Amino acid sequence: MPLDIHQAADHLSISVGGYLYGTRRGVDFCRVCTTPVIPPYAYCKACNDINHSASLKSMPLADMVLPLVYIDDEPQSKLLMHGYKGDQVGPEPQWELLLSVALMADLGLLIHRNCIESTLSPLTALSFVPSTRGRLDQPIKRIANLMSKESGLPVIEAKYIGPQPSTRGYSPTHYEILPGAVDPTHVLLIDDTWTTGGSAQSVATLLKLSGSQVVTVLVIGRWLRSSWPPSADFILNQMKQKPYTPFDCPVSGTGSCP
Amino acid sequence: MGTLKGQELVYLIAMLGLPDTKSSPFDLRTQIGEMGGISNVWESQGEASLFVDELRNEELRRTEALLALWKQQGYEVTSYLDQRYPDQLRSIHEMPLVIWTKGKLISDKNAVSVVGTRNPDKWALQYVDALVDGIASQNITIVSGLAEGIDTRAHEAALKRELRTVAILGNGLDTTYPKSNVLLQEQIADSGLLLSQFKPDFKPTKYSFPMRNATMSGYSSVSVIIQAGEHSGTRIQGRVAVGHGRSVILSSQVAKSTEWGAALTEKPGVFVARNVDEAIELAIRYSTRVPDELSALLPQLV
Repeated sequence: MPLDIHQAADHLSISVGGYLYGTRRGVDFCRVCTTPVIPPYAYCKACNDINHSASLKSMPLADMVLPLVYIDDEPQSKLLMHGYKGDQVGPEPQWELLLSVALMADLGLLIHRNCIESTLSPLTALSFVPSTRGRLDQPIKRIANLMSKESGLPVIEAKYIGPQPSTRGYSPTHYEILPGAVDPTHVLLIDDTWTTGGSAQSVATLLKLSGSQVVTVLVIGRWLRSSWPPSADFILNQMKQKPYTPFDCPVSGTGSCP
Repeated sequence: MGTLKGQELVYLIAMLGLPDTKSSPFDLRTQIGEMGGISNVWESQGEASLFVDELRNEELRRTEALLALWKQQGYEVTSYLDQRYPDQLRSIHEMPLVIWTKGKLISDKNAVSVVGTRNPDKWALQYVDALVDGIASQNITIVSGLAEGIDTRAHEAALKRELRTVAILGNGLDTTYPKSNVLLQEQIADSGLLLSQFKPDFKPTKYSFPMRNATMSGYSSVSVIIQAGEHSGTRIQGRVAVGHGRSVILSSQVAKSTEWGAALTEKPGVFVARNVDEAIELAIRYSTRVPDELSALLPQLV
């Protein structure tokens, strides 16, 4: 039975809408990752650093990054992003948290596929940012498989091959793309959280070096640190005015799609 | 997930009781996750000084003795790492690391909190009776906090209709608060469940009741707030429930005559019942946290 989008959206409004807040676009936000910035700066520090390292080596980065919500220091949103994969709540994922995260990603694609495709080009495949801790059957992989089934887009698998313990930075050589027969023209790369963007951008670069013309990153949560003054101000004064709903468009950053 | 090895439960309870454990339960849970288990955290905290070691050993001995006593008293002690721990509590950040229970600990997937003022009007007591009557045919557990007023009536109404009822206490299992509920507390233990996040000898404080409300919200799929004033402790339950991703049903009295109730109606998952029939309908609908069609996706995710 196909997923009932309205039923899933209603469920998400209740199960996470009370503590997650939609991302914004515009001059006050990083062009890449939607972190609050102070104009005329167009990028946050983390994205600026990655832009710089990538351009030194002439490496291509993701064409568009779409975080769905902001994750701040509130303990319930932290619990969601850890607990959905079993961290900090015992050895197994907490199933309701896992379902919420999966539905957020799934509806992000189902509802806003047109927004992504009309802005860039038709999607041809999905991929996901693999665990750097060598977990084989990671929840994000299963979420990507569910999205593949719902959307009909095949999955390209990437693997972490870098050092242990892993480093956080931008390092495409720490990943490899597993060979397969999937058309990589426009890949939607899925990740759970974005802190510096190092790992997602590494995989995006690698996808492009392996034949993708376009890479869009779909991220569940952009972690905001209140130690970054524009974020602290935004969390305090603006963030809570926009509770998350899956219908808000991550491409436009508003309630209406482009 | 299995059962905690006996010694790990002892370490966990001992850590909660040690004065020099600087960590909040949240930090402790993070630490246990990152260090790969309770024993590792316990060992990492040792050897700070002879004095600290002495204190730790003493707390271990005391905890072991207490565990034996609690068993004798018929209390079950369950940690968040145990299979028997109510899974829904693991989806809220205030999940108690340890719970003490008396009665029958089962999963209670469809639980409805019925809460409100300690000094209810007659209409509110009738509202409770009608609400419990209206949902009695469903397989729903009535959760409340064993306080005077609405809570007491909710438990009594459930018992009268042989519905399962769970009392979540703001004190330890050894204490009854208010005293007038001694008999009710026993009846709930006999046919339902008493659950406390506090050690059995813990006496209630003004901080323990709000903590208990967070646990009640997490334990239940939906909270129904029937009558409450502007400064009622019940307002905390409405607020935390929204922050947990739980639905909330407010009676029109609460939505109209309190500022916090009016503000809550703007939040996702908060519904105002114009009358008790609407409250019954909403409570039944939202007693299932996740619609069956959506939980059917789970086999693909785990």
